[in-house]
Order: sequence, then structure tokens, then C-alpha cells
Amino acid sequence: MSGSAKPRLTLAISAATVALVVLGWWAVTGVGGIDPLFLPSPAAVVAKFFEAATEGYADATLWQHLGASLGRVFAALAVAVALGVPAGLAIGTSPIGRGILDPLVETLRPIPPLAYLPLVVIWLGIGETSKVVVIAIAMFAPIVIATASGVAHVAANRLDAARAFGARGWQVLLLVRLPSALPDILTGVRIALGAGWTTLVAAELVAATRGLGFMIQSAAQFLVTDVVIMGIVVIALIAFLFEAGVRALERWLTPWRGKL
Amino acid sequence: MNRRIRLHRVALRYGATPILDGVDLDVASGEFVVVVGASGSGKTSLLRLAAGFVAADAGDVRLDDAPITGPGAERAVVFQDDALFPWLDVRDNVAFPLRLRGDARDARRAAADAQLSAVGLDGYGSRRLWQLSGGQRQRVGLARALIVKPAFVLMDEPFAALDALTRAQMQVALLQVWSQHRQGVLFITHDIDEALLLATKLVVLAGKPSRVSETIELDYARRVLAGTPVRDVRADPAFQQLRERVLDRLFDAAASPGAAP
Ligand SMILES: Nc1ncnc2c1ncn2[C@@H]1O[C@H](COP(=O)(O)OP(=O)(O)O)[C@@H](O)[C@H]1O
Ligand SMILES: [Mg+2]
Repeated sequence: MSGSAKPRLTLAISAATVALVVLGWWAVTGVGGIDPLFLPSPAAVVAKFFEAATEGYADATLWQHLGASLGRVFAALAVAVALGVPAGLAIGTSPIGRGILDPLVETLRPIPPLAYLPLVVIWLGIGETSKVVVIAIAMFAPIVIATASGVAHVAANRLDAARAFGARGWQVLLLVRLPSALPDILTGVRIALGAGWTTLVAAELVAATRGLGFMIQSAAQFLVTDVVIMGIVVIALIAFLFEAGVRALERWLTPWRGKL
Repeated sequence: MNRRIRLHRVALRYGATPILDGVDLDVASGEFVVVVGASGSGKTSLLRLAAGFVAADAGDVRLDDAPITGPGAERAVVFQDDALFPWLDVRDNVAFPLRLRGDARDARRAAADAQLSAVGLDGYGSRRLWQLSGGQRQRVGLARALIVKPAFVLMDEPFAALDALTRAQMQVALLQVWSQHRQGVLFITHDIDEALLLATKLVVLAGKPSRVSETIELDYARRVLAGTPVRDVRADPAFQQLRERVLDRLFDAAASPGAAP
């Protein structure tokens, strides 16, 4: 794990690498000879960004597309946490819960979203629900697995302490196991956000009229390569912000991590 | 009220390995019983029996006349590595047993603050655990144990991880806290000096499997409480002789395993 204290040198090298890639991109498109349909210049992509932000693309501004996508991902996250944390608790603390839920989660986990997408559409239709469900399915397993591992591996003396002071079963669960597992649960949320965001384009394949994934696909159909690349860059930037956001959440909610 | 924890001919084994065999031990209200033994001699196991975390394989463990079948509010535990909850601040850690009991929030916070003053941590309630030293964390663990006004306090090497100076301070502080309420204390240690200083009754655990090889009544704790400096107590030739005697007991047992004294 690379903590928040990334060495300066590494940071500088990373920045230089990104700069070099952009520079190389700018150079090859600048010389000419490459069809902008194949690879547009960085300037064209940046221009498209401002155009999409103000005038819009495919009947909506970039912000409306972004808002639609974020709305789906956070709705899915809410569903995945609401179902995944209790499921993880059951797996991590009860042999019966583990027996029932473990095979289900393990079966679901390796299936790519594009594979279950048609089934979800058949069952739930082409509305907003199925998009959220597809993303939520991708988020479910990381949260369940992280929660289960967290609540199962609580330091024995913490449990002894709780029992010594008279904690009943549910009190041990809510007041000791769950907060003990909070660092793991947040790690699960971080992985889940990544997995859900990755699933976005697939989820927006079906009958969407807004969303970053939809924007990219509709641009691809008309070979508007600069919008495709601009969309990809925005998706990458948002993923980066998610990562930073969850890390900030970790520092706020689990300030003892790494200190005790 | 005079109460008593009594272990009678207790045996305990892990798998096929016997750890304790034929252990007799009594802790009554007002007694400060210290069990000293080598590392691995089963001291923690003994405490876990009294706390009700484990059941004996033979013999019986009783509180007054009833068999101990689990933990109970009258027996509070202080753990070797404090076992506090880092997601709670100091005050809420101390108030945790009251929260389990269902006390109102204001009442339990006030009680926690009062208990913190009693262990010398006045004004530390809002601190987080990682802002405390090891000694202060052990004081928090002690406050959490004392807040339920237990009849007994069971302590498993609470000062083992502290530096020598802090440990010396904590020993005197503990005696002072104990002198206020005279709970029955079962205190585990492998440090002979600490054992001699604190105990009103010293129990030497030795042999393989372990049993009580000697029980000695002591009054150094009372002298310390009466104001005799710890340095003078330790310098007492009788203290030194006792130290040698206990050390011999522990060494004999280590030198001839199986040969019960
Ligand atoms: N849960 C357990 N399972 C198996 N062996 C154990 C367990 N707990 C302790 N032991 C063993 O029993 C012996 C006594 O342990 P313990 O009571 O912790 O001794 P002490 O506290 O005196 O160091 C040690 O040899 C230890 O390895
Ligand atoms: Mg021990």
C-alpha cells in the first residue's frame, strides 16, 4: 500500500510521465499525417471539452451527462452498501450466513457486467432501475468481501473486553465488530466505486439519453473521436477524484488507522 | 460486603497439553492478590478462568458460592494491551460499560469524567487514544474497569509494556486507587519486584503444569500507602530476601520440569 505520504520524487516522476505522454500526443498530431478522425490533437480535445460544457453534446451539456452518471453510481453505491454491509456481517460472523451467502457472492463476483446486462434488462426493463442495478451488482462483492473479512478478524481482546463488560451478541456486533471493521469497509467502498465506475459505459449501453457512457457511445457511432477521448479523460479524472474523496473520508471516519 | 472468588483444584489444558493442574487460589474483597510466574506459565489462563472467559477442565471456579459460568459486572478486567476502542474518545471508552447497561448519555459522560479524575486523567475526556502515552492508556483501561464499581478487578500484566519510570508511577497510583474502595484485586505479573510491592497476598505459580508453589502474605503495599517511599521499601533486607526466595521458586521449577514441589 502506498500511503498518502507518497515520496516527492515519485510524485514528480508521475507528473513528468503524464506531461511527456501529452507532449508526445501533441507532437504526433502536430506533424500532420495522422487523420484527426483517428487521433485528434490535445487542443481539439480541450476545445471539445469547453464546447460540450457550454453548448453540450447529444442534447445535453457535459455537466448534465456527468450528473446523470454520478447519480446512477451513487444510487448504486447506496444500494450496494445497504445490502452489502449486512451481507458481509452475516458472512463474517455466522456459519449459516456464510453457508448461504458465500457461494452466491463468489458466483456473482467474476461475471463481467456485459454478461448479466441482458438478463437485468429482461427482468427490469430498460429504465433507470436496470442501469443502477447493473452498477450495484458490480459494487456488491467488494463491499461484502471487505466487510466480512473486517468483522471476522477483530482483535480477540477487544471482543473479550466487550464481553467482560456485559455486551450481548447484538451489542458486540454493532458496538465493537462493526466499528472495528470500518477501515476494511471503507477499503471495500473504494474498490466498489472503482468497479462501479468501470461498469458505467456498459450500464449506459441500454436506452440511455444522458450520461458519460452514453455520450461516448453516441460520439463513437458518428466517429466524433475528440468527444470520445474527451469523455474518456473525464471518466479518468472523476475516478481519480473518487479515490481522493474516499481517502479523505477514511482520514475523517477512521483517523486511528495506522496509529493504533 | 465481603465477597470471594475461589479456584479449587483447578485444571486447564489446551488440546493435550496440561497448563494448570490442581490450582487453588482465593481472592477476597480488600485483598490485593498478585500471581507471579514465568512467561508461559499459565497466568493469563488463570485470569481468564476467574473472568469467566474459559471454563476449567477440572475443579471449580466460584464466586461466593455460585459457579462462575461467564463474565460478570462484579468482575472487571484490565487487559495487558489496553484493549480500548480507538473509534471512541477517552470519555466514551471509559463510559462504554455504562452504555452497554443503557445509562443515559449525560449521566454516563459525567460518571466517566469523574472516574477519569480518580485515575489522574482530569480533563483528558475528549482526547483520542493515539494522543495518549502508554501509561495514560492503561489509566483509561483502569478507569473503564472501575466505572461499574466492581467488587473485583482482574488485571493481566497491565504495566508490562511501560518504561520503568512510568511503571513505578503506575504502581503507586494503582495502590492509591485501590485504597479508596478496597476491591478484591487479582493482579498478574512476571515482575517479582512489582509483585512484592503491590501484593497483600503473593501467589507463586510454578511447575509444569503449573500449580501454586507458595503463597506469602505481605505488607509492603500498606507501607507504601502509609507513606514509606518505594525506594526505602525495596531497600529493606527482608524485601531482598523474599525476592531471592521467589526467584529460587521460579528457577527451581524451570530447572526441573515435571518435578512438582
Ligand atoms: N488458546 C490457546 N490455545 C493453545 N495454547 C494456548 C492458548 N492460550 C495459551 N496457550 C498456551 O498455554 C500456555 C500458557 O499461556 P498463558 O496463560 O498465556 O501464559 P502466561 O500468561 O503466563 O504467559 C502457553 O504455553 C501458551 O502458549
Ligand atoms: Mg500472559
